[in-house]
Amino acid sequence: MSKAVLLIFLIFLSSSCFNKGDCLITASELTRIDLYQKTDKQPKTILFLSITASGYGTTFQQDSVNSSTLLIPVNPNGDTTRFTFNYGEKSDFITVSYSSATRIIAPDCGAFTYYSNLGIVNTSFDRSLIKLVNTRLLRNPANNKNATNLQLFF
Amino acid sequence: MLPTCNFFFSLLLALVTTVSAFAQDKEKPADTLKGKFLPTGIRLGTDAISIIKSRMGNNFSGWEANADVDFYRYYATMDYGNWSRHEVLTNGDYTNNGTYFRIGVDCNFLLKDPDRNMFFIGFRYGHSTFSETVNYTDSTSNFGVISKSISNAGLQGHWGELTTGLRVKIWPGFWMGYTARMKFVPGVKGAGALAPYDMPGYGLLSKAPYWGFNYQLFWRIPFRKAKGALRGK
Repeated sequence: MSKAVLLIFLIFLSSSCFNKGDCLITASELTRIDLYQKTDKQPKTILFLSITASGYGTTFQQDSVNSSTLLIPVNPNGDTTRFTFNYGEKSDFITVSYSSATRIIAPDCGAFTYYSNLGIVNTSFDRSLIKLVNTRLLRNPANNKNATNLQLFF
Repeated sequence: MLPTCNFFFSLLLALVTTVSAFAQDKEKPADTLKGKFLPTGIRLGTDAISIIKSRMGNNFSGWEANADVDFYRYYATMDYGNWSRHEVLTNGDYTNNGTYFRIGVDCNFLLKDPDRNMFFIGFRYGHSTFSETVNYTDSTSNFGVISKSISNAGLQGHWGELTTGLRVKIWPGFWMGYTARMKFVPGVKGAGALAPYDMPGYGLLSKAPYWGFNYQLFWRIPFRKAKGALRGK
């Protein structure tokens, strides 16, 4: 019996460290899309004349984006958003669906909306040229970079 | 041939040993624990910390009632409480409200103490029914600041606890003491768009194990006189 008491006491003792939560916020409403060449799978820079994201009462728009990485916001008031890409003389779109959940980190940090279950609902791109690599929209607080969600091959 | 002989010899030895063991059982004196497992009283109590926290602070309101019944060195325990919390967040506020109960068993290690003082170790199963709401502003880089109000209603939660503590007799019929709790494996059913944050009876769901501490006051109502020299009435 005394061994059992000692064991339980040690369990209590070993888990008695109090740690105040750090404000490590990984929430992001941005979808990261990385662009690649479909031939050699190397990053590809493309000049987009504009990129729009459908939203509630407003539309996000980026003009003249020349990059191999895109960060496009999802509509925080909905569960689907349509991204429209205008490049060269073409216009393509990707409609994504997602779910959102509010998480309270700590009173000193606040409440944040986390997006997950990202999926492709519809697209005008060749479906085989889009790869969904991460269904959660997350930002690394250490380097402020978003995790890649989609890979798009041109 | 030799292995077969060994087998029969072993079987015979086992048979003889078993028969002699049964014979010894018949000669044992009467069980001295007979009747000791009948409860001798019920102790009713409350948690002083919950009452003080409710009076002193403005972000917690709650109470807790406790009861235990003795069965020899074991005590069947039950706690029932109410818990309401309001937290101011940097970008909003959070409130919850609910009731909880715990049931379990304590094992008393001061069995022969004449005043029914206790040093105990036990376990509990906890269950909570609660609702919660968060109102906050979500600052997005592209859609501006959005106000949100998200609620969870009718949540059902449960957890387990390892407990230890003391009960010390202060006056006849009155005990004081503490219970330290290590709460673990919390689970909540019925959550919607808000990840459950604070479960009444448990605490912050992001922390497991989580610690709890009660300072309790107990009054004992005796049913009958205990066998032996106990005088805790």
